[in-house]
Amino acid sequence: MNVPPPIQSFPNIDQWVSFSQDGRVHLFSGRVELGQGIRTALLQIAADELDVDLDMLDLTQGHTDLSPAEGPTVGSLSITFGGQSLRLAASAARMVMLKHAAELLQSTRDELTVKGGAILRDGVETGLGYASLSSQVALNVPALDHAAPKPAAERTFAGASVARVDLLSRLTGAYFLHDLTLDGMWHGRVIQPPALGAIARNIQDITLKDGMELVQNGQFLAVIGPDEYKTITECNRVANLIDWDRSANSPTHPMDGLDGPISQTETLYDYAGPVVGHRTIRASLTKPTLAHASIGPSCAVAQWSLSTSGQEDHLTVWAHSQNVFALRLSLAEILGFPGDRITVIFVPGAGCYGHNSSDDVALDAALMARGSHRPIRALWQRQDEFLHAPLSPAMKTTMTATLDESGKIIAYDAQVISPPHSTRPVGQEEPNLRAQQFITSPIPMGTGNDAPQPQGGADRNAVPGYNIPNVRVMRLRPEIVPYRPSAMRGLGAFTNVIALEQLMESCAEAADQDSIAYRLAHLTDPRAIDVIRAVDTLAGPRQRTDGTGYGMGYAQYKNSAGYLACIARVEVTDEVRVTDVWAVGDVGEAINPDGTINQIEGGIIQAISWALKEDIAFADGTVVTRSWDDYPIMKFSEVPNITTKLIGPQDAPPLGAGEISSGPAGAAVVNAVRDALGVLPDRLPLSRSALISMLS
Amino acid sequence: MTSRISFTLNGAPRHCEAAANTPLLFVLRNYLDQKATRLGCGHGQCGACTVIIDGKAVTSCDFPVSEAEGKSIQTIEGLVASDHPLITAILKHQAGQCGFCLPGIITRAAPLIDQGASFDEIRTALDANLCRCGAHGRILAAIDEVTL
Repeated sequence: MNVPPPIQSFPNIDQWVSFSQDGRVHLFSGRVELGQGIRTALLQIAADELDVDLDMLDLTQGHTDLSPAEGPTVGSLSITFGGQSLRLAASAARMVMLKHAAELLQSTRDELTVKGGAILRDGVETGLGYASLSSQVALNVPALDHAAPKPAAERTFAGASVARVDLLSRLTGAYFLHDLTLDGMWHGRVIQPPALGAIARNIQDITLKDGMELVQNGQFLAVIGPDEYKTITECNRVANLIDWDRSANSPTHPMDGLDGPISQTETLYDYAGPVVGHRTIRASLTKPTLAHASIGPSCAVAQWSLSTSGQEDHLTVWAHSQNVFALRLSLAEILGFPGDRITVIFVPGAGCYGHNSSDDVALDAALMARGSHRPIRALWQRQDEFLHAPLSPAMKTTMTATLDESGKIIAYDAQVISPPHSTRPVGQEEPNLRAQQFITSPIPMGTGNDAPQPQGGADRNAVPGYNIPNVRVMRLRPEIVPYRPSAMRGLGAFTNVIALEQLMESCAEAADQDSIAYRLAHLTDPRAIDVIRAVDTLAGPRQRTDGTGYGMGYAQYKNSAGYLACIARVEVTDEVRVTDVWAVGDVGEAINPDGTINQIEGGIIQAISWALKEDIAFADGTVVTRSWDDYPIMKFSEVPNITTKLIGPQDAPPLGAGEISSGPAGAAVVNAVRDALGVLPDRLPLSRSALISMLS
Repeated sequence: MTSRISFTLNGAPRHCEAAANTPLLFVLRNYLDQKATRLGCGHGQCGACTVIIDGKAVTSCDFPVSEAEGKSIQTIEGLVASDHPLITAILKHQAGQCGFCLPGIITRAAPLIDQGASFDEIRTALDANLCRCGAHGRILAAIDEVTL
C-alpha cells in the first residue's frame, strides 16, 4: 500500500487507536461526517483490522484536542488518505497487542488470533485481550513498524454494505449540531451588513425588546436572547430599522467578470512541440455561480470560559466545519486569542458539499459569546445562506481539439476562465471568515488560490482523461469577482468534464464515428474502457424518438480518483426532463458498496439540478437570491430513474467516490439535450428560457 | 404575552406557555425538547419542519402554536416510537445521506400512506419537501414498498 500522507504526519499508533480497560476501542480521525457515510466506513475498516465488533468502537471525528490534523475532509480523499491511515494504525495496534500477548504466553504471534477484542490461542480464549492489556502495552510507537493490513479476502466488514450506524439517530433525538443545548445558552442571529464598508448609522438609537441584547463589534451586529423565535423576530425587526450608510456596489455580474479583464494567466501544460492537424473542433461551456443550498442552514455553538479573575481562559466552539484545525487557526487570528486555548469540536450539520457558511457561523458564535459572556448558539437564516455564503464560481471553459486526417485527436487545448475554487479559511494568512470584514479591526477577505495540478481547482479535470499526445491547459483568473468564490463538490471538474465530453461528441461526429467507439479509441486504461463499455451495456438498446435524446459522460475524477461513466435519457418539450440515468463506477476497493452507490446517485441528482435549474441572481453587483422560491432545486417529481453499478477490482486501493459522478452526469445530460435538439448547448442552466434562445 | 395552549403530542397530553404566534416548530424544539423536527427555511418552502396535525402534514415553521389548541400532533419521534412501516423501509433502503430532510419527508408521506394514497399521489405531495443530498430515489423506493 502507498503510505498516505496523514499517517506520515501522525505516525504513532496512539494518535489513531487506543484501548481502555472497559473493553472500548477508541479511534481518532480527522475526517468528518458530512452525510457521506464516512463514519460507518471508518468503523468498518477498523473493525476488520482490529477483529472487534462495530459496537465496541468509539470514533472521535474532527476534535482539535484529540484527532490527528489530517487536513480538510475534501477532495474525495477520506478513504484514500484517512481510511487507509486508520487501517494501518488499527492493524499495527492489533499486531503490537499480539506481540505482547505472545511474549506473555510464551507462544508465537502466529498461534494467536483476536475475536471481539479477546486474544485466542489456537482458537481458545487466553484470558488476555485488548482491555486487559490496555494498561501494559505502549502504543506511542510508529504504526508503520508493525502494520500488516489484511488482504481483501480476509475482510468481513470492509467491502460489505453495512447499514449506516447513524441513520436512525438522524430521525430521533439530538443528532445534529443544531440540536445541541448548553446550560444558560442563548440564541443569536446576525444582522448582516448589506455591503462591505456599510455603517449602521442609527444603531445606538435602537432599543431591543424583552431583555434581548445587541452584540456589537465594529459593524458586526447580532441580536441575542434566551428565546430563539423572539431572537429571530427581533433581529429582523432591528435590521429593518437600521439606516445603513453605504456606497453603492459597482454593478458587476459574475458573467461580466468572465468576459472582463484577466488578472492572471497561467499555462499549466503545453504542447510537446508544434502541431499540424487536419481540422479543429471547438466546445465551450459557461456555468453560473451556484449555491450550496443545503437543507439545513449553518449552525455553531461557542462558549468562552473565564478564569477566577475573569480573564478569558478558553474558547470552545462546536462547528460542522470541514476543517476544524484550520478553523481554529482562523479564529485565533481574528479573535487575537491563542490557538492552543481554542478547542473546535465537529458535530454534524446538514449535507455539506464544499466550503459553505459553517466556518463563518463559528466566528459569529464566538463573537456573540465573547461580547455577552454567555454560551451562544448561532444559526444563519435561510436568506443569509443565499446572500452571503461562498458560491461555486462562475466559469467559462473553452476547448479545442485538433484532429488528424483519420479523425484522431492529436492536440487539445483548454482555456478555463474562472476565479479560484477555494477561499477556505486557512489560518493566519487568510482567515477568511465573513464577520472578520466587519469587526472593529477589520481583516479583508482573501481572494483565494487554486491547488496546483494534479489536484487542481478551476482546472480540475481540464487535463483530458484520454490519450492525447499534445495537451495545453491554461487557467485565466478574472479580475472582477463580486462574490465569494469557493469549493463546491467537484470544483472545476463539473464544468470541465461537460465541456470535454461535448468536445468528444463533436469530434466523433466530425470523424464520422460512433461516439462511444470514438472515446474508446482514445483510451488504453482498461478500467476506463470497462466503465464505458459497462454503462453502454447497462443502458441497453437506445432508440431515440422525436423530442428525446441520449447522452454520455465519462471521467476519472482528477485523473486519479474513481472512474465513472454515465448515460442519460432526456425528453425535451418546453423544458428538459431527465427520465433515466445509468451509471457505472469503479472506485477500486469500495469500503461500503451501497454507501458508494448512494454517493454516486446523490452526485447525479445534484449535477442534474445544477445543469437544468440553478443560477444565483445578481443585481447592482450583489446577490439577490434569498429563498427557495428564488432558487428552485430538483424536486421529487423530477428525479429520473437511476441505475447504478460498481465494477472494478475490489482488492485495488480505494480511489475515492464522493465527487466522481457530478461531471459525467452533467455531461450525459447536456449531451442528451444536444442529441434531442441537434443544437449544442454552451451555457448552463438549461432552463426553459435557455431552451427558447437555443432553439431560436 | 403568553397563553397556555394544550394539545396531544405523539399520543400524550401536553401543553405549553407561549405567545400565540410562536410557530409550533419552536415550541416543539425549544419548549418541549422534541429536536428531530427541523428548521430549514422558516418560510414553509422546504418542508424540513413538517409535522402531522389531525392527520394532515403541516409545515410547523409557519403554523402558529395557538392553532394547535385541542389538536393531535404527531412528530417524527412519534412515528419512530410507533414503528411506522415507512421508517423500517427507509432504513432498509438506506434512504438518506445527511438525513436533515428525512423527518419532514417521513411526516409528509406517512399520513398519506396510512390513508391509502397511491405512490404517484405521494410523490407529487413530496414536491413540498426538498432534499439536496439526492436520496430521492431511495426514499421513493421505500415509499413504493409500503404503499399498496
